[in-house]
Amino acid sequence: MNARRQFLKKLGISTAALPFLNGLPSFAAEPEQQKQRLIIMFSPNGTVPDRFWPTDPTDPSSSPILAPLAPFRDQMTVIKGISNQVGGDGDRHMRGMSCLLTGSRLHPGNIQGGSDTPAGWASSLSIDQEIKNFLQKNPTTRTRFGSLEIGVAVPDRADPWTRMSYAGSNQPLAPLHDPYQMFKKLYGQAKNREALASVLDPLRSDLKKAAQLVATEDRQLLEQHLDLVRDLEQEISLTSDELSHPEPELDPHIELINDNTPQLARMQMDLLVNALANDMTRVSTLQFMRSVGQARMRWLGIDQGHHHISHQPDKDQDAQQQLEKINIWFAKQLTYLAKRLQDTPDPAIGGNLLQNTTIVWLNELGKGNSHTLDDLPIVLLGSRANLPASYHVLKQKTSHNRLLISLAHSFGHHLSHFGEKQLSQGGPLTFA
Amino acid sequence: MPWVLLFLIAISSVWARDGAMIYAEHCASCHGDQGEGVAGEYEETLTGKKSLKALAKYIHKTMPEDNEDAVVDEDSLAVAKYIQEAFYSPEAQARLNPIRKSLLRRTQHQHRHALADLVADFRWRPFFKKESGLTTRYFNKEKMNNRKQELLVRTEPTISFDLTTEDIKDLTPEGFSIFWQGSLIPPETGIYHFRVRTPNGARLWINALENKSLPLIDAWVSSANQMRESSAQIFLLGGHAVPIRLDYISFKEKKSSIVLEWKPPHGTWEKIPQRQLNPAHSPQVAIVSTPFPPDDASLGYERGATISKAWKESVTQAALELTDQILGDLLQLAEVKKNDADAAKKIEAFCTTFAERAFGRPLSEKQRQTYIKEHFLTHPKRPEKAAKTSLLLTLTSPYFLYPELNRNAEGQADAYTYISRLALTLWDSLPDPQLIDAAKHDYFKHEENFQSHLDRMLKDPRAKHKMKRFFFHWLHLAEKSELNKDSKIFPDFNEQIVADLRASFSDFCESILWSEPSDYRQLFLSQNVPLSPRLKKFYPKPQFSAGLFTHPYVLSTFSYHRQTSPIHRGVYLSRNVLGRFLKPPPEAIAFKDSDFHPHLTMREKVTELTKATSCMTCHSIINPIGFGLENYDAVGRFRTHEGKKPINTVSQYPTPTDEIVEIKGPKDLAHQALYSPEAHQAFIKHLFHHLAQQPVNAYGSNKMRQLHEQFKSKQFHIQKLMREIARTSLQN
Repeated sequence: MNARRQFLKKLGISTAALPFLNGLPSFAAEPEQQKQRLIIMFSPNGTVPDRFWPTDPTDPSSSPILAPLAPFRDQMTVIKGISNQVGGDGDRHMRGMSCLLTGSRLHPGNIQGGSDTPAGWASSLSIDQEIKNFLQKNPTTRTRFGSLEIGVAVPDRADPWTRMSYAGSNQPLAPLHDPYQMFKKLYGQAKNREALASVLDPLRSDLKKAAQLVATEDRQLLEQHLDLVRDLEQEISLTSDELSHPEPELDPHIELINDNTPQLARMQMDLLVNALANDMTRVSTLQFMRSVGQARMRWLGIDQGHHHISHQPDKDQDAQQQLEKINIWFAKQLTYLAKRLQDTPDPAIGGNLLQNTTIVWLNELGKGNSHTLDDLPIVLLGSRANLPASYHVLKQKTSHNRLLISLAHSFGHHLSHFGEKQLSQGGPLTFA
Repeated sequence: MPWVLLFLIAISSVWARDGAMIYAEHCASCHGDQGEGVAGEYEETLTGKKSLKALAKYIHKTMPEDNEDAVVDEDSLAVAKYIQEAFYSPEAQARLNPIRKSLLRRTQHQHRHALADLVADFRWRPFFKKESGLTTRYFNKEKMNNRKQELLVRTEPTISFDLTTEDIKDLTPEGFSIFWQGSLIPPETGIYHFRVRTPNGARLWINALENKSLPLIDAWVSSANQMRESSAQIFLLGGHAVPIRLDYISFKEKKSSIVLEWKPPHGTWEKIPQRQLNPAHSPQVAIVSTPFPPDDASLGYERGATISKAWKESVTQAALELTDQILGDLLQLAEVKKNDADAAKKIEAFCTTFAERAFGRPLSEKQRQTYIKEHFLTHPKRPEKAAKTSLLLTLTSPYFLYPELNRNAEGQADAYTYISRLALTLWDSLPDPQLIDAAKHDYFKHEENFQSHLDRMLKDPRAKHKMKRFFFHWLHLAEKSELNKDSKIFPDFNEQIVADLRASFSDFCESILWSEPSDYRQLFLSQNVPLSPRLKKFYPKPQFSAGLFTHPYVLSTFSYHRQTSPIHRGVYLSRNVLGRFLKPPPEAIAFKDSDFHPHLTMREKVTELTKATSCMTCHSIINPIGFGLENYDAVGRFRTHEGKKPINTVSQYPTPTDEIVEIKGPKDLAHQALYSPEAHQAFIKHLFHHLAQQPVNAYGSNKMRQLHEQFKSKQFHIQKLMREIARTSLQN
């Protein structure tokens, strides 16, 4: 029994008790490298500008929508004045979404919304993939996945409204929105080994029993089989699945439906934090719904679809209040994520994960009913791509390509331009 | 005992004594006391299938090697008689080394089918419609709505549309959509490639449900109305129909067209042939794509006689892969409803039924404890976790992997054992719920019940698929998948022709097998070789006069790159079809065309190459068969001349009974296949191996004779032979 327990322990099944000790070896392996991580969080359909932008220039969390982020006001940057100036085919939702991280035009295509010309996919790769490729090239920054594309309540359809990450021209990347699939992707192999290990004893005993049933000439085959089971057991015990941070336990019964979005969001964020803590990736997107998304946020007491509400005029007080509620909910999601990162020690560098992670919260529109691509609501948390922590109002309309360049620069990837050259002029953002 | 028989025994014992003495005196020094061979002298064992007369003649003429006159006439007959009875003949060998049924694991083929069927039996089976093709719906598109106005529903032969050539009433070219849906029936197991070519939008689902899974190919978003090609591959199981669906949309685009093509294993890129499509719905099939190591084929047929580390790893990986698929659909498979208070119970019941079907019998109390209860006790609140370990254990259990372990508590075979054997023999799979039910009520005690199950099983796609593979195994065509010829000499003999030939061969054999008379003889008599338009062009003057002897797939497979190969044709057809026993050549001599004068015909070259006496022991049989087919070139086209020389196909052929007959051409070969007992028995033997994976003799030394008698008395009815083999396979 004791041997069995030791064996299971080697499997990493009981490592829950030892999260920090197990982290030590990797601490020694990578001491000098300053780890950088990036999470790009997206929420759709624009914000409510006068409830979003801070009222106190010295406190970036001083607005109803940003108030939940108050605990992080010292590590927070809010920038006003960034606009998506990419022109060409596609309606603004579409360009807002599919040009958001690429900074270049859409291909002409067959997808059309209520207005404008039809369009196709983005014509170049997105900044998260650019940074991923940069990190994966270097053995010291390479990770198992390179990047994760995580979704929350993203519908199973692929069009320019549902995709913001691109591996290249015409190569959209689908966000994985099922936490169980995500769990499998991250920990599936280890879990399989655990399950296999647990059936080896009965398997052996049945093989022995079966060997008694057959003629002596046939017994050898089953005895050989028994040896192979022993080999398997040894291999499993030699495979180390030890994680710096044990995988989160998921509630197994959360159906992928609209009403479960809050639980699903939490599961996805827990998995994301865990993946970062175990250094499975350093780049991730976290996409809530999609552009033109019609989430019905009944958990906030809102029955109508989000996109529908976002079209209501400013004078519609009910609608504006609902939109404020919706955006506060997104801010709370961000708060949860930041809190989880802050509470998680960084095994490699000491301190916590948030200190070495840039979180960017983005939206495809400035405002829903006007469909403006100006004054996109932009919040950075954690290491903030090394931008100063404060509320910045840019003096002139600034292309969002420059924000994307700033992100790359914070990883030591000194791009001169990203997406359209014209829109990259000025390079990374600077605040006077 | 009748006195005649007594007399014969007396005579034969006299012979035997004399023969034994002569053997000991003149032969044993080289061949060993029991024909086992002597190191440094004649090392091979002295076994073979020569008739008594032929053997005596051979000894008379050539033995002993250093003193040929020492054993002649009656002495050589006595020695021949002695060694035939003592060890030379197959019967003697069977007596000396009794053959038994050995314990076998499932072959990889059987394993994959068993896994798919295990899950399929919890779903449903498609009910195919008579008309093949796919249900096709046309709609006009209005704004975001892709299915505003249904214009037309019909069955179409394949997935293909071009606005410039099609005329659909009321269709608005600015925006319309088309949906194709139904079943895809893969002809064989392997990787299938699919490609969609369209300047518009399309999504393709295969073996997945469009509302539950992401498409295999998602080309929904077009790019500047340019023609795009999107491809993907998927592993499919032969004979297991899977759902297929393609959604197509054209919106505000000048050019509108779509075509779906596939490249099946052994095939080329083409539109999916109509007969592989059916408008009926199919459920998803649990297909495991884990690669398996090849199975032991050292006896000439695949069987699970050995295990290895690689095999064990594949079994484990396949178990994980299937478990994963099942867990993804567990609630549906276990029939758990929303907020079902009995969810855990139902999942436990599912795992129990699953194990029972995998093992082919109800679980013993001990098994129920080990395979089911312990898992659900360990994870009382996580039934899906319990299901995972329970399913994994079931799928790696010896009771699933070795079907012969299906015995009752006393270790005896019973009705459950029989259905297990039956399903393996006819389907390469597991007993289905109907068979299990029959075993439960011991229905098979009554012959008519047994026969009606056989009827049902033979009509099942699993039996059809198993037999499709037989013909390739019988002629040893299975391993010769790479067929190509010198493109300078045969410029039009391309991949497509090869793929069509393969299909033609398969269709030819299957149509005879599944016809009413199911007559073995038609395999050598029928001239109805199905030819695709491409083949009709390539073989403008078909001379397919002797069934598969003259089928161009057989003839071109057993040919060289540039020339015919009478030796290959002769060896493969004499061994597998005519049942001739050929020893491996005493020394391996490669045929090198450059060694010969360029003006010689192939026949002259082969004759020259094999003229040595040691060669002619076997080549006297091989060459006449090959020469008889010299009217067919390396791609199976009829010819009368080789270069400028007319072809001579006539030669003298020694039959198994040592008569010399003249072979003038393929029809004479067909005659041999029709009337020679050796040929019949070769067919029976190959079919038996293919179905039962055990040697015929393991079921009694008389078994072959019995099967042969029945085969003859039933007008060589192949399906009836299958029934007899199935019945035989039930024996312990």
